[in-house]
Amino acid sequence: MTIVLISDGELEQYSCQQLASQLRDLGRRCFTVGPVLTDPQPLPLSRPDLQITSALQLVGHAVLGEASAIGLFLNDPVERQGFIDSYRTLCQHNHREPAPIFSGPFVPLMGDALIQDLCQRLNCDLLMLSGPEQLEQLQMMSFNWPITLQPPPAVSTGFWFPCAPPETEPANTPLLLALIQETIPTHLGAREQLIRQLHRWASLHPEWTIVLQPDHGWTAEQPLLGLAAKNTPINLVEAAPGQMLNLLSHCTACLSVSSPWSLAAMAWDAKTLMVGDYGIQADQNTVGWFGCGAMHRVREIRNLNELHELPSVNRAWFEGIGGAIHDGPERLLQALEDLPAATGQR
Amino acid sequence: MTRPLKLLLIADSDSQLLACEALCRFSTDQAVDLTINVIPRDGTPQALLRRIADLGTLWHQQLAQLLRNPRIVGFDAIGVFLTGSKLNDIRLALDRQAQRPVLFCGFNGVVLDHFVEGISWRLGYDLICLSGPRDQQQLQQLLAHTPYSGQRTVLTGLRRNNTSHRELIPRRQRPKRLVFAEQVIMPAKTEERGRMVRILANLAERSPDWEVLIKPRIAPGDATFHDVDTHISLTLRQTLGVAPANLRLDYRPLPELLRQARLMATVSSTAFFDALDFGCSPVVMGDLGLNPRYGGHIFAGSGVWRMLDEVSDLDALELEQPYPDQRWLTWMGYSDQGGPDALLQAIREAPTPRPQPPVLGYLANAKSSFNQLRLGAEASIAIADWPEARELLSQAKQMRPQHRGVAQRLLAVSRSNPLLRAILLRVTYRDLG
Repeated sequence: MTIVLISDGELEQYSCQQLASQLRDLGRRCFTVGPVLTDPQPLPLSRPDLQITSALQLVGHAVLGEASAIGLFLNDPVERQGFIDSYRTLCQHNHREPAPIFSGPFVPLMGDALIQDLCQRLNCDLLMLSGPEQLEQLQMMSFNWPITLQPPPAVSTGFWFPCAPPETEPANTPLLLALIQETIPTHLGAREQLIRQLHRWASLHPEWTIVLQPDHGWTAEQPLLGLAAKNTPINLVEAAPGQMLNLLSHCTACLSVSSPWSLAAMAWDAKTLMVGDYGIQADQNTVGWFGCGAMHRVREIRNLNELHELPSVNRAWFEGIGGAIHDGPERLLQALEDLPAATGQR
Repeated sequence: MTRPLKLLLIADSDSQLLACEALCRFSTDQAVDLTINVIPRDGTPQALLRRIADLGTLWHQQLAQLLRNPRIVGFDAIGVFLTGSKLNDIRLALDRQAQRPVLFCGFNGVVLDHFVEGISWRLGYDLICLSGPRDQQQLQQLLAHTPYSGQRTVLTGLRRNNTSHRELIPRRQRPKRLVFAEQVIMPAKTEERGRMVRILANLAERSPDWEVLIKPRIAPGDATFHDVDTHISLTLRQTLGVAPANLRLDYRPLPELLRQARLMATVSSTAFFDALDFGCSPVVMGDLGLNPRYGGHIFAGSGVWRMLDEVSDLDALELEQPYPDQRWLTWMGYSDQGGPDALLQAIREAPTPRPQPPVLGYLANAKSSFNQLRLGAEASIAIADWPEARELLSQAKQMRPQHRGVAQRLLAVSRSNPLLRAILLRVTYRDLG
């Protein structure tokens, strides 16, 4: 029997490939399904085992007939719901027991974003969450709910990237990796302003290398440096596709407003600076970073060398959202085994 | 005999005034000298203003004027019921004083969402009023292992009405009436609001012996905390054309309606708890699902979560004798624990107020509002603190690089030539209110 992992976005595809590889190491057959991403990607993605353009294409596919469990990691809740409904209806029609469906946001959400996400995944058979904080929030959210609304069981499986960084040589001169997000900061021109600041730092500190790393797929026609490229200092560059993990593993410091990949920098011991100029706001995705101990205002950094002295991340916060879990795949398998018989009927 | 506590409450919108009103139910043996400053705002319901005037001395000062008022530091405690950035303005302004009153703040009724952001604005207040153990547990989870873990809180509960002065009519002797407490943006979508009205109309048609009264949150033309596009009266006409004879809007004050109704229904209004105060049985309209934007996930545990579309009629619903789950009520804050007197006690026991120094790496929402940065810069300009004004305007520019007013003001304060600076400051001046 096979565990089928279905995903769409780049972070989800990468996470599914990671998870599949770890599950195979544990002796399980695993099959990844998803679209082929054609834009330049920050991650070194390999092609999924089965390529589809929409999850609904998969509903009647033979691969699901062999599935012992289905990991559903589509971004769009409507698409997720559509898949689950169609799959279960078809199973019922064919007098076949549906395989249990597990799902969750790979990144550790907090606040309203977590509650919203949980409410949209209540129809799966197992919730896959990152850490004990998320489990506690689920428990609080469903306090005293009637039996008919009870949420599915949940398991915390830690982060979506490897606990140990890829093996690379440490940089011999300081490297600042700036994770550039697609829509954050949301204020008009704020992202460009941030890039101009990085430009100024690069000019002032030629001993540092600053790499602008989009944390999402991007198009080659829209360079981050834009018009500023002409007078760009030699030590300020845009990352090449597929290099984010390597860069995260050997950067001296990592900066972003709220990129989830900052967690990899934290896990892999880089100094981390979360830009706090935009406050704790849902639309900037900064709510989950409250209490991380790494939030600073850009104007407080007078000199890039101060990055060496930044305080460490709040370990209790980090571990609370999943940073202490290093056996996620084993926990997942155990949780799937612990599911009562005849799940897949929710 | 102890000296009366001198309290100042500051609020602007109707929701916040209602929160203040609920807080002022101190026991008669508590000596309190109360002043309430209502920040003038168009459309605040007059009836509410009259009730507030009955509670103590009423002031009507704008925030800037209030903060310049020397009498403000003469209070023992100041309770601030405003939006996030204004909460910060007041705290930061008073922190500049050598000595300041105890500062406290709270939330307006049940907190359905934005709790983390809300707390982040309130950190640094000497006391944060919370409704019940639910809020307290969330706050503890958020602040544990951070420099803010010592934040003091007090439970002020969700009992918002003093009903002791007038006896309640037993439920069976009341008219067969269900009051629906409308909320201006819950649900928010036109289709969902239409569906909500349709469900109520169908229920009214299935229950001809009953009267179904929709209590609009605000009268047409009145202002509330949220911007409202479509008043419920319009939704009613747009959805039903002509409503069933036993379904109508009723603008009488909610307490009056609840005193004379057997049942009350809501999506997620704090009025749920008011109904209990007035001996009316509340039920939650679960038909819109567990949508967290409408607080469904919180009220689902109430024990009275019902699909009104599936209820055969209101006689059948009444026969069920719906009553909220006691465990859930306590968790939410509807119990004998805490209350307004607990706030007075906490104020008396509060340590001498002092500003909390920032801790590197742990930013909250202080100085993160664009307007606040601008106002702070203007305050610094007024006392010729040019470096501070530059700092604040630089940060505002970082936040909104394309804002011309901020860019021009920053250019002005960055001039070292005093004459040029003065001219530019004069030319770029805008009244920020």
